[in-house]
Amino acid sequence: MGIRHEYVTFCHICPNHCALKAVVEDNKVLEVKAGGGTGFPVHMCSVQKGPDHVIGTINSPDRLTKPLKRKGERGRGQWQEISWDEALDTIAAKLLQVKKDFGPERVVMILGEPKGTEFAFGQRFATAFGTPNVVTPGNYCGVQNTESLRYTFGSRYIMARMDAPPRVIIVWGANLAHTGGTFSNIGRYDFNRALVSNDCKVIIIDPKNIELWPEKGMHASDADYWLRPRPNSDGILAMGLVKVIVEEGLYDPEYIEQWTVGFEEVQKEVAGFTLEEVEELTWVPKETIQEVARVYATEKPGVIGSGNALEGSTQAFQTLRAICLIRGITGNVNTPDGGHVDMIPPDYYPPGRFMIGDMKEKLWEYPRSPERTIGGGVFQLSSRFGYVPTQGLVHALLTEKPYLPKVGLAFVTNPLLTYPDSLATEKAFRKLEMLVVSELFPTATTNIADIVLPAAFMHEHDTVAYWPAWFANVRANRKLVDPPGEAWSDMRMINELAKRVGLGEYFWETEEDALDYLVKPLGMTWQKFRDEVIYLHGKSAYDPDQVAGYHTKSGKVELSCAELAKAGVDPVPCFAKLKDPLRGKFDFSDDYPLMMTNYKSEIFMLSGYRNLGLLKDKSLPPTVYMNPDTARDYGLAEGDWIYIETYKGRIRQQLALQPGMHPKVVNVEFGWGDWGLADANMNLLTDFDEPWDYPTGSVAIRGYACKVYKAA
Amino acid sequence: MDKVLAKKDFPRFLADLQRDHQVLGPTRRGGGTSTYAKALFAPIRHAEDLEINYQSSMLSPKKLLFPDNQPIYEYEKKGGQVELRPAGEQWDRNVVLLGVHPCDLAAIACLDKLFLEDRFQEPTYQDRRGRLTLVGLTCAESTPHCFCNLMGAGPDAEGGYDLLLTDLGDRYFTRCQGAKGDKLLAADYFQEATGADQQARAQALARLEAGLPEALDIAAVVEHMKDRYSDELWQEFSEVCCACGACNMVCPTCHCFTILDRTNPDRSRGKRVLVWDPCHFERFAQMAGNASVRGEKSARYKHRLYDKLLYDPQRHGRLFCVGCGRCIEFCPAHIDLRAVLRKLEG
Repeated sequence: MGIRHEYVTFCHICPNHCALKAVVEDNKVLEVKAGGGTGFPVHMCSVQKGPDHVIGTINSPDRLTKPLKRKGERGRGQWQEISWDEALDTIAAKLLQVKKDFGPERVVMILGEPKGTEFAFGQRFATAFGTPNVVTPGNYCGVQNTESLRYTFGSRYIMARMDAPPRVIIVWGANLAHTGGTFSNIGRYDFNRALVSNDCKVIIIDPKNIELWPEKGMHASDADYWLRPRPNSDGILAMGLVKVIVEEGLYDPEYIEQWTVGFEEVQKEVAGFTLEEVEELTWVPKETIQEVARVYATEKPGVIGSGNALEGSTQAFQTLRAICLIRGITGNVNTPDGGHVDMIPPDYYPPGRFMIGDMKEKLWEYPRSPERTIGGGVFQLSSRFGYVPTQGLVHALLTEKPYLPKVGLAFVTNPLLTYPDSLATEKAFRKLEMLVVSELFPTATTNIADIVLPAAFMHEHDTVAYWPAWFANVRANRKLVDPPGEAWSDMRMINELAKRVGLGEYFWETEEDALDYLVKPLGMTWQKFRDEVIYLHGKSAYDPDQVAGYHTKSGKVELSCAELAKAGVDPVPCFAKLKDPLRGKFDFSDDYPLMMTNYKSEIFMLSGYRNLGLLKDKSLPPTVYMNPDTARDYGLAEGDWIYIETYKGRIRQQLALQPGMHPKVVNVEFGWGDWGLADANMNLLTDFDEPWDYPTGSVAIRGYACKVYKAA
Repeated sequence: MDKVLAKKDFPRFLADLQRDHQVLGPTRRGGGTSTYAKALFAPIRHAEDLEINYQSSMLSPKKLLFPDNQPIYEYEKKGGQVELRPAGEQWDRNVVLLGVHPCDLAAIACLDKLFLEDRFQEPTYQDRRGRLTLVGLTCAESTPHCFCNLMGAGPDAEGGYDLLLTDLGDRYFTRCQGAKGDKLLAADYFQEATGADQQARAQALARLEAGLPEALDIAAVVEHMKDRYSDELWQEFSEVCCACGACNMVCPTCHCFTILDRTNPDRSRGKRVLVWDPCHFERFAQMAGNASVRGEKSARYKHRLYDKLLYDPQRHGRLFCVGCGRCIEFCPAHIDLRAVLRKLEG
């Protein structure tokens, strides 16, 4: 019997990144549980998906364990096991040939949500290799939130200030009981405390009657306010709230005068529409909008936590900007009585610099300029944030404009399920001359790959974890056990590939060298960080005596933002344009009288881990929610398997009834599609094509008119 | 009276119940609004809605009888007057709660003591309890968290039900208590139980008992608690506690609540609601002047167990822990109450 160790590590399945304790013996993980008593954050969802997915993944018989090369036709599932040398040499040869014959931009790095350091490695490789085409799901995940904060308040690191209990919390398109939101250091327990307090109003804005506190059986319908806006009308609702605050004078004129720019422009914009219009477009009663605006403006500190749900629309950026206006006009950011505060992250190697910034000579040689980048001329801001929108790649592959990409290198991502319009995505990806996919498990995307690389799980190698970077914390995720078979960490794959394409000088001899480099600014080695420090949180810039200031160009809250205007983006959210996601191909018709939106599972992470028994047993099958009255009108009953159809296609999920939901909304579950459930894939309902959110490259992933009928 | 119900006749039994009652039972509906597939007590329309072989639910029947977020009254200012309107949610039909495990039956007996039989009568609880028929079900198997045997609450139920079913494969052994149960048992699909049925029932429960934790002298535990109020063990067991209150919420007997006013911004109208309040929150014991008598989480952890095992028995004559295991299953830090009890026993 070996020595039994108890290690602290962190869950990565949602952005709360709870501390976990893992008991390890003889290269086996015996137990994983919440890291209570470690002194590190533990919010712990009631599902306890963290421990389950760690143990489940490490012990899964489904893991990929050897590099595989396609045999025969694409998508037939026939593979030949090859060595790492053969895999990497084959890829390197193709990369160098494409670079020589067509230019490095024809190689596309395709990345998903970062877990450890692999995302940063992928970005760094792209910079060194000379391709500006790094495709990430940032176009509908986090960017609208962080960038609207940055353009408005001068920082991406604006978080909830939890040293004083907030007097109002607005949860907008986020599911705090089950996951950390795009922005939230509102821990689950802080939130629970607010739910049993007379001092805090809780306002939920969500089409779904989300669980607020599962162990209590408490839902959105038990909150002070539950607003159920029409999917993708959130920007209009936000502007409605701004209008009430501005026109009822629910702001501090002195603060507006001294600390904001552009108030007059906002006044002018909100004078151009009525609350009746807002009610009609959002389905939220005018009186409710007025009450919520008054509550938020007068009860301080006030926190608005928004989630991914607001980021998948053709007006995503301005929707989040409009929410920033609410925070800004009410003086809720970086003020002594505000609900939000700037965080100063720990001084480790900043991911942005690691990805792009410390290879200046490479950037001069191969700039990430709009002319070289897919969609560079179309998306006003996205290339500044270092990504190509996902549907931009699909569009480029299908139209061959501005050129036809030749090679795709995919890490931590499953585009065939997660990009809008799965059929178009598959058709597009099949046009790549070489698709390389690194994965834990077989997926829809590995199925059409040319080379599949077996990846080590997050807990099977040492790595620095920092994502979401704007949460301002950095964590040591230590290796608990060896990876299965010949699996390698993504970091190691990229490091070794770099050496084979002549870019070794930008990478490292070993993974540990790379980790040392990342934590060097902290004044310590990786080993010290991993074994002694483990976790560092940012510092709050809160000042109880004065406004802490803003790092915008003007040094003030930019209600109207000149920098945006310079980039060709409306400096103030334009009410008329915020109606775009409700119009045209998205709108109701005789054929499609209901409105599809979607939610993420409370059990899994995005499309992942759906094969793990421990999690599968905890989950319902693919589930679509509807109002009971609507279901009855269509002859449908609880438990029926039904088709949900949009103009793009149809999917099959099981119906669950949810009293209180808006009768026109059909809420389908995102993320299914692998493991024999191809017909439950939500992205068969969505469209990759224009219109898009031109500043950030978002695309509509909800808010499509639909119909429902019983499946045979 | 003991009878048996052939499983093929179960739909008839259910249909008869549905004629005069709303039937609630364990379903596989997740949290009702989430895909977390833990059993949930919800309306049963068809026999197939029933997840009769469920192991445990996150929310106990407490949620139905003593609801969280319960409106008490609404008010509205009209001119100089304040109008008060009662806002309690009454059941408009008689209800059958089907498939309640013995631990949860024992928990309802605890709530009965508290809200019906002793010093106070809680009107909503009283009304609902009067309309309720309880059809219990002994467990088919235990979960890794169960310890009903240690608390004398299972695996068999000694009372607290109208009917009690035990799964014997192709039939349910059905025991009844009281007039409501007698009436139900009069239906022609219930057959007299034979000696073999009795024996099969005893064997099923013995098998179940064998899977439950080794016996424990709960009287000794309680006795020792009296001397160990200042013991270090409370610190030791609560060290990893997240003070999240999950154990309070899922506990079928925890009944502490606070009163909140949900008002509109100018406070001209609103409603007063009763909200379950976890004693694991520091604010729970906060007093005027911001003093808290249980500022340390170890003090809160300790208090909850003293309440259940010592103070409640003194007040209400029975243990207020029924060994359902929810506090273990849903504790994010995996704190195991059974380990605490063993330590106290020795």
